[in-house]
Amino acid sequence: MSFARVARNFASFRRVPTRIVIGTAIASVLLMIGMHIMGQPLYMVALFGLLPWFPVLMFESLWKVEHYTWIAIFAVFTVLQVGHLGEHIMQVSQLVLTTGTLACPPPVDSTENASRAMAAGLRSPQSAATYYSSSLVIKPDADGNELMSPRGDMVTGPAACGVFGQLDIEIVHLAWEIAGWLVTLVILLHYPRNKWLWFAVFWVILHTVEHLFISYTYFLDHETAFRGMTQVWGTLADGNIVTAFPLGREVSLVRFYNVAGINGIFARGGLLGTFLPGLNPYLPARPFLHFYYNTLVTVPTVIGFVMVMRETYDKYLAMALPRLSKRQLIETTPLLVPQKFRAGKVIVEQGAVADAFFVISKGEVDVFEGTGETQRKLNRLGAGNFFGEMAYMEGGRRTATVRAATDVEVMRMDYNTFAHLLQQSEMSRQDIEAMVAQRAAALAGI
Amino acid sequence: MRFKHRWIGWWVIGLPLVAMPAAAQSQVTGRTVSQADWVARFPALFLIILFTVGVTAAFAIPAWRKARQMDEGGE
Repeated sequence: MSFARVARNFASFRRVPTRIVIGTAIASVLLMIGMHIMGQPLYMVALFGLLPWFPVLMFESLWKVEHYTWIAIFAVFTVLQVGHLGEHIMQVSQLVLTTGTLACPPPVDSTENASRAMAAGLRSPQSAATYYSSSLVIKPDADGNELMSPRGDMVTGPAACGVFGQLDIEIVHLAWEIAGWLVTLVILLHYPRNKWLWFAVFWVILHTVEHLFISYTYFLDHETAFRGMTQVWGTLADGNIVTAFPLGREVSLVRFYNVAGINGIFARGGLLGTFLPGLNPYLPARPFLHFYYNTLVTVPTVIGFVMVMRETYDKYLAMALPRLSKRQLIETTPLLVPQKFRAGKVIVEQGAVADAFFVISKGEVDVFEGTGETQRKLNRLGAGNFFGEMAYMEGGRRTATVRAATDVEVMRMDYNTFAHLLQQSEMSRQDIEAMVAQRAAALAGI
Repeated sequence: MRFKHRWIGWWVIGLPLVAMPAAAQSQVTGRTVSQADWVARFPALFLIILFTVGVTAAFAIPAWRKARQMDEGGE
């Protein structure tokens, strides 16, 4: 079973119909284009591009969790971590590749910031605050006023806070870090031989300690005794695009967080740099250190997941044929085709030509023998059970009618695959033969 | 049941006292951060490290044992 095939099977949409996926993709693109035309800032364009995908991905994730359990949870977690790393990559790119300014979260076009711009003569007194976050920041110089380039222009760039800069706040960092730490540990319990996860856990511990300490200084350490320089901003609004304008710095009494705690333990200006001042200039600034942390956690998480994904098999197939080897389950899973039937719908009809074996993954079915007034109910089958094996073993035609008792999802396996499976697994063949004998007795009324 | 490690309680009680020195020490314009300010926060950092390592061990040790069993079982 090739890795590409496993990956394609895992990534394919099984619950959400293809037309819905295509429609969602079109809606997403149209929304982004529309938001851009309306002059919305990048974070709004990105948000509206993502919004249509939330319900689609949620339903699809639930299907994968139902069928693949922990591997699917690992997949969802890995995707979220990659998104998180993407934000850090964006921030570092904004700092390194553009004239980005570390003003996080970006100044909001609030009444206060707008008023300051008006007082400085930069903004019309008639313009109301928009409450949008700044997309652009005019870089401040050492005094906190606008930095001028050699050509005499103001140096302008993005707020270097990632795409969704409003989320660049300590409570979000703390919540995400704790969630990532605990979920990584829980996944480790299920995949304890995954060396990449152990590597990720080591870096997650360091990163968690950093954020717990930073959060301690932010939330609990209230001593306001330190000399701090706070940048003052005014905001200018051009439609929905807000630019933050530096209006000098204020000296004030601030907390330990503002002058040192924000840097944590290993970043420049943090604990290590304070005790080893000669080393301090060489330590990475906080945005870069936390980018390194996230890379060291996320990359091994992704690799660890890819290693595990190759072991994906359908839970219901394993329930139906418990004596298949893990290798057989893994190889057969991509060959299963999910099908849905509403309550009351006939799935297979007695006497029809048979070509498939079915595993029930959701709901219940009723099995009937005979037609019309002589029809009698033989059995009710639920998730983890199977049907369609008798026609294969006894040749050709369906021996009973199977109707959905509730809304049902089944995993369809064509007879070629079924035959191959039984050839490879003598024990499963014995189980099927035993079931056939049992059901044949029921058909005969014994 | 008596809690055996009551010494931890002294750290918890002392933590606010150590981490937030008297306001009388601050000046109107404030002071710059020194090593002493960091040392004052070491008890909090120690507790955080202890907590993080402890919780991690609660998962990692059973995971390690499970991995050993799987290796011995030849899975």
